[in-house]
Amino acid sequence: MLKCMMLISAVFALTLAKAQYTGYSAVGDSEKFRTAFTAAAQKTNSIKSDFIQEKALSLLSEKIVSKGKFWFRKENKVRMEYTQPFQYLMIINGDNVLVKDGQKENRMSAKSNKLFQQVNRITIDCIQGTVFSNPDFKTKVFENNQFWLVELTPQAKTMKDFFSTIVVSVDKNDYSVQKIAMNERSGDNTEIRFLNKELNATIADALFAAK
Amino acid sequence: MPQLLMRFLLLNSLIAILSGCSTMYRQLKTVAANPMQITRLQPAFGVGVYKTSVDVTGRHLSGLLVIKKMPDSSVRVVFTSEMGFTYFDFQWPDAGDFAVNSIIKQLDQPAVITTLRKDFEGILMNRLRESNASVRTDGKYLYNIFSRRKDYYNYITDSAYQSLIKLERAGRRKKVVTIYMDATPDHIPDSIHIVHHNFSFDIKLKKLRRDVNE
Repeated sequence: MLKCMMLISAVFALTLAKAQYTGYSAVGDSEKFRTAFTAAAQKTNSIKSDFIQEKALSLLSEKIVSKGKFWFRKENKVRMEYTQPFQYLMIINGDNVLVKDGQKENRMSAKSNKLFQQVNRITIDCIQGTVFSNPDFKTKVFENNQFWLVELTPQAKTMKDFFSTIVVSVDKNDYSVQKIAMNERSGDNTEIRFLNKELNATIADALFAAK
Repeated sequence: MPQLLMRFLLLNSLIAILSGCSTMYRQLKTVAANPMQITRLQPAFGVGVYKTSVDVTGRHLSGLLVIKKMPDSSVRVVFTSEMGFTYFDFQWPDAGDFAVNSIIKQLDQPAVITTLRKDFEGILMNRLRESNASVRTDGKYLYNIFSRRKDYYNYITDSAYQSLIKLERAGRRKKVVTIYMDATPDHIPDSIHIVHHNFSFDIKLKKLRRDVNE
């Protein structure tokens, strides 16, 4: 009887997981994935890629699409440059942040802005593979043939106010981040897809100048 | 009796006109015109997506602002960061009270919400009442002045209502904000500039090319 109940529960849990992310099934023991992901991330010293961001707002039938270029270099240097349909640049270099909106430059410390620090740490944590040790999130792992799917549920209040979940798709071939989807409590969401990835390319210091 | 009533109404109207105008505009000459003609210049936001930059007391904030007329005729204004998360989501039902659907904690201050509400109500022209309005002139432009509680929304136009020169919102004595909207044939402004005079608060909107449909 107990075995039967356990089987029913397992099937139910699997069905729920499948219902949650179509085509994906829950990974029972995510430890293997975590170890492999962290090991692969440790070998990734830099990433250069294009990105496409799609913002879905409940009031618009079509998404707001923006495009740009992304650079990452260990330990915590990120440059995100939006080129279409507007110009916007964000550089994170350690605790220093530079935001350039058109001609206007704004420098700040990530430390002084907790929310900014947390939101941007998601990207860095995902890429560095340290997201599993981030106490701000509870994680669940799903998979299909091509991708691992990591669901992050915020635990810190500041993040909970904004996001219900953040879902990161990781390519099974090279453990690189394919997509980050940030789902807001309102039902709106933002998806950032990384394309034409180049791992461990040389990236000049100047690209991360944020002071 | 009807004569007495008429006198009473005339006196009341006179008091309303005299007391119902900011001292800023008293030197202007009253003209007999229908102030509701201003609605000919009302922006027709089916949907507009604007790149937005905000400078407030030395700090800079930017993002995308979406203005959309909903199927139920209400208007929603949503401001998000470039990277995605929503700063605020405001809604004006066709009839009924303005609603804050969501706002981040950092902006959730009555003074901020009231200021933004009044700015957008000026732009949207969705709370204009003829009974609280008068038209004046300086000889060159028409000043279409609508009073609402302690505020005066003054739409300055050419004499033929072909273009909106600017919109001013004033209190009893001082101008509080000036809003510039450029005129386009489709009545959807290409850019909007909101300048506050009582403190350092400047909002610039620039329409993005149509990457989204209604």
